[in-house]
Amino acid sequence: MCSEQSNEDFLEKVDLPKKSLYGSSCKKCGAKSDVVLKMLDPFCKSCFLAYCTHKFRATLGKSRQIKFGEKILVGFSGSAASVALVHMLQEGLKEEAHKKFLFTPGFVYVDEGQTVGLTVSEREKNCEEIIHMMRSSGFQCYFTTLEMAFGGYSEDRDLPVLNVEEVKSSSYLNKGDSCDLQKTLSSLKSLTVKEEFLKYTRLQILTKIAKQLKFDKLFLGDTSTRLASAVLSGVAQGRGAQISSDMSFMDNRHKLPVLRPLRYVFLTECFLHAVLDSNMAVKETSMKSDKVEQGKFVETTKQTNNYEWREKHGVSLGSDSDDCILERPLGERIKLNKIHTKSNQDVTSENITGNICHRQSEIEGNEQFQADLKILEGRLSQKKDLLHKVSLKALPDGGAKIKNQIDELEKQISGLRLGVDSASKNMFFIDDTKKENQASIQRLTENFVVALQTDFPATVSTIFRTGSKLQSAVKKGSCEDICIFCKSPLDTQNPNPSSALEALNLSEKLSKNKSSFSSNKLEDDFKTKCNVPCPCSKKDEPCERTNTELLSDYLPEYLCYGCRLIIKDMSDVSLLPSHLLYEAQKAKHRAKMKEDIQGFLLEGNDDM
Amino acid sequence: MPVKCTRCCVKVAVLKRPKTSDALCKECFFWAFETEVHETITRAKLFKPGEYVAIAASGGKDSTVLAYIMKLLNERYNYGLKLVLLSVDEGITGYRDDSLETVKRNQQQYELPLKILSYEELYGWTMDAIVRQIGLKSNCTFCGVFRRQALDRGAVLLEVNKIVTGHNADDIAETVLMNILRGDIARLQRCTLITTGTEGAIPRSKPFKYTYEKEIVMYAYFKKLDYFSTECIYSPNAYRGHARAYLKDLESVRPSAILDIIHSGECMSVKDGIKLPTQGLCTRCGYISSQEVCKACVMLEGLNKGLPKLGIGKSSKVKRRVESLCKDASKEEESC
Ligand SMILES: [Zn+2]
Ligand SMILES: [Zn+2]
Ligand SMILES: [Zn+2]
Ligand SMILES: [Zn+2]
Ligand SMILES: [Zn+2]
Repeated sequence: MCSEQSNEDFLEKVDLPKKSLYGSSCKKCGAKSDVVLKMLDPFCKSCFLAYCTHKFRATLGKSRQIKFGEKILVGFSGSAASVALVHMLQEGLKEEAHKKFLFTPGFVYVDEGQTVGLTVSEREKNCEEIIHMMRSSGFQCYFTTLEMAFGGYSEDRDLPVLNVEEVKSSSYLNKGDSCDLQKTLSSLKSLTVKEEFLKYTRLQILTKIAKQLKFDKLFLGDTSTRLASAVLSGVAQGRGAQISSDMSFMDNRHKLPVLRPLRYVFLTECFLHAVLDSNMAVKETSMKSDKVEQGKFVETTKQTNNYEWREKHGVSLGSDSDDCILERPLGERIKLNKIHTKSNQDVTSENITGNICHRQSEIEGNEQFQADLKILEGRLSQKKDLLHKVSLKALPDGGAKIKNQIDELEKQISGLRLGVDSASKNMFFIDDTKKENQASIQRLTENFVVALQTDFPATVSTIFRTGSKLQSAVKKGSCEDICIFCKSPLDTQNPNPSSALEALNLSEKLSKNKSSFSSNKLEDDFKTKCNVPCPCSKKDEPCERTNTELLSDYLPEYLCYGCRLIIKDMSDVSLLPSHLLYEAQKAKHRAKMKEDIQGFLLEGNDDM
Repeated sequence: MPVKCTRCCVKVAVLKRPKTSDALCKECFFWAFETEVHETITRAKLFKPGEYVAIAASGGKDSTVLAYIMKLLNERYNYGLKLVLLSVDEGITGYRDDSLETVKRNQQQYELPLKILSYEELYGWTMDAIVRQIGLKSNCTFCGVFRRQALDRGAVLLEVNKIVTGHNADDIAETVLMNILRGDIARLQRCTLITTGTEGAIPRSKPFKYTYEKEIVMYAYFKKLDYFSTECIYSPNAYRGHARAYLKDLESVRPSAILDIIHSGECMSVKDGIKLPTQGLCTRCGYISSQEVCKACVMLEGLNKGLPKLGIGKSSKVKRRVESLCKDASKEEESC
């Protein structure tokens, strides 16, 4: 049948070389290598940097989208990708005339410290470092905070943005009404929708800033690793129609073109680039799940310019005694493996107790676990040997580093053992990792892709390739058929009666109270201003439905499938940003107008 | 305190629907479940009155519930269909026996005619005979290739107009994810279609396209339907296994994820200008094939000529590929 022609290459695990390739000669020039990509390709530092820069330049060049003298704003987040991007741009502008970039880049940093629950002093420290970093980059740099931009967002007013040269004190952190953002976020009930909401809000703010500062285009630091997980997580969140715009080089859904020049660069390559090319810190903050219920977040800050960071990211450099480069930290891989074993068993809270013993033996028997334990123990004894051999005083730091490494290894080993030794602790161990890794669809997906990439090195590029061969099957309609939040064409208009969307609507209708009315009927009632007794309230009284209920009735009309999922998970829709609610109102009004004059409209006059 | 049913507000709820998380009583759940399948059938215009429809019956939960509900809806809504249960017996001693027993019981319980077609009738060879010919080693290759065509061949022998299979929403969502992971855009595009079948082939459709696997189990459980519950003897291939685990995790984060994925699949298509392999019909047997002569025909030729290794593949790569397809065949046979 149809399986004959399928490409099965992905199935083949690449046989990794038995002996580590670290230290072997560079693939390109033959010099001693500094990094090993995908555990297969050794590169020396300069060839590696050239290789990354080439991918970046080729992406820009082939697109032919950037014109002479254009101003391009780069969204700087402090992540490895954005640090790498700064460096590649700096390099490109230093080049000789014929290779020199012909556009002028500028940078903007939108601080999101509040959403991840940092204290004011922590945020100050972070922002100062980043502002310092930006000042020393030599580019035009701008700064704002998410809550400031969010609170002051309006279509016809400028957002508050500071030029980093003008930033004097940290008083900016207290500027603006920070309540709005907090309120909206706490109304979003799950981490999945919080992340989704922030993603589009961020994009909206960045494009608006770019526009107001008179830039022509916006650069984002999306790597192919990130885009591959975006494909899957988009599909998982009903955004199939948006995949192609989400990962294309140029995305035209926004106020100005959004470009993704790193789309052929892997995340690991960005980390390595950031480490090798500079000692610049990579600062990443992300929401942590364990406080989600309380609507609070805890910080996680990663830094590249220290040993700990490198160890964490499995990156080791020539100067370190470790003899191989791992793509992922060991601990994380173990965690992921466990999650997959677990989900196969469908453990629920009821049958957890019955499962403990079973899973304990399963972990003990888990080859991955045994192998990882062995590696860690091997490293530990190696370090201890070293400690015996050399005099600590001879080391520049008095042996502090190596002592730290030993501590760290011992901690990792006991952490692993903990998972096995005691059944009750074991439960804890697994549940914690589960919570962390499965807290949101985005994070679950990213972990899934990274874990799969470890076993099947073609994973990211295959997903990426699949995504780039797809397009939306939604017909392009008039400008009114655009989602008011994510700006994608609506995939919810006139659905086919035989479709998942209608099947879901039907299921919802069939499981609800028989006497309840369909939402269409409800709409009709409101069109007549509710002077007939409203089915929701007592007889002969005007409608008692709250503003929120009213909103939840008509808002979905103007949202795409994926954005509807966001507001479905919201406790109070009226806490959405006011400009969004205003747009919904406007759209509703226009739809009503159009209905009134329907009979007089001529074909093809749809885009007024 | 017992929870009341959200629909009738009278009876005590016995379950929470995985799809909508509404609490329903038994009767209201049956009614919702049946109405949804009926709507799926009518909205997609799956059948015309007077058609002869084969229900692919394996004895497992999906096909057992499918047989039960097809019979029920056909009578309740006067579809005017002539139904038949179609089972394939590979002829492996001791393997199919239990599940075939279940299918035979279903025949009596639901008063539906049953046709069991053996590999001998379909191909002229039983699996046992093939094993005797070629040894145990490569019989998996045959099993996979033959299995995928068996339903089509059976349907032609029975002269039915259509085939229905028990693929549910979970299966389809899983296939969407798997095809993304392995970059198979041709199948990615096909797998969310409710009816498949190129011109000249008998159309196959999936009335459970929007039905959650968990609800099928719930329905069978509360209706006390008799099914043969066993995991498929073929372990899923690596990628399907990962896709399945990922889907389960997604579902636990957000239960609607299964339908959300199907929605995604329905809303995307292959970019204009990208060439897809064309599916044609085998010039020998007339079944769907991308080659001029299908794999099954090549293998049969080999068996009949006493060259059983023909079609098993020259290179080890091809062989490995065919074997992995075979392992996948339990789910794959109809889903593509
Ligand atoms: Zn080199
Ligand atoms: Zn949207
Ligand atoms: Zn009820
Ligand atoms: Zn087999
Ligand atoms: Zn053939």
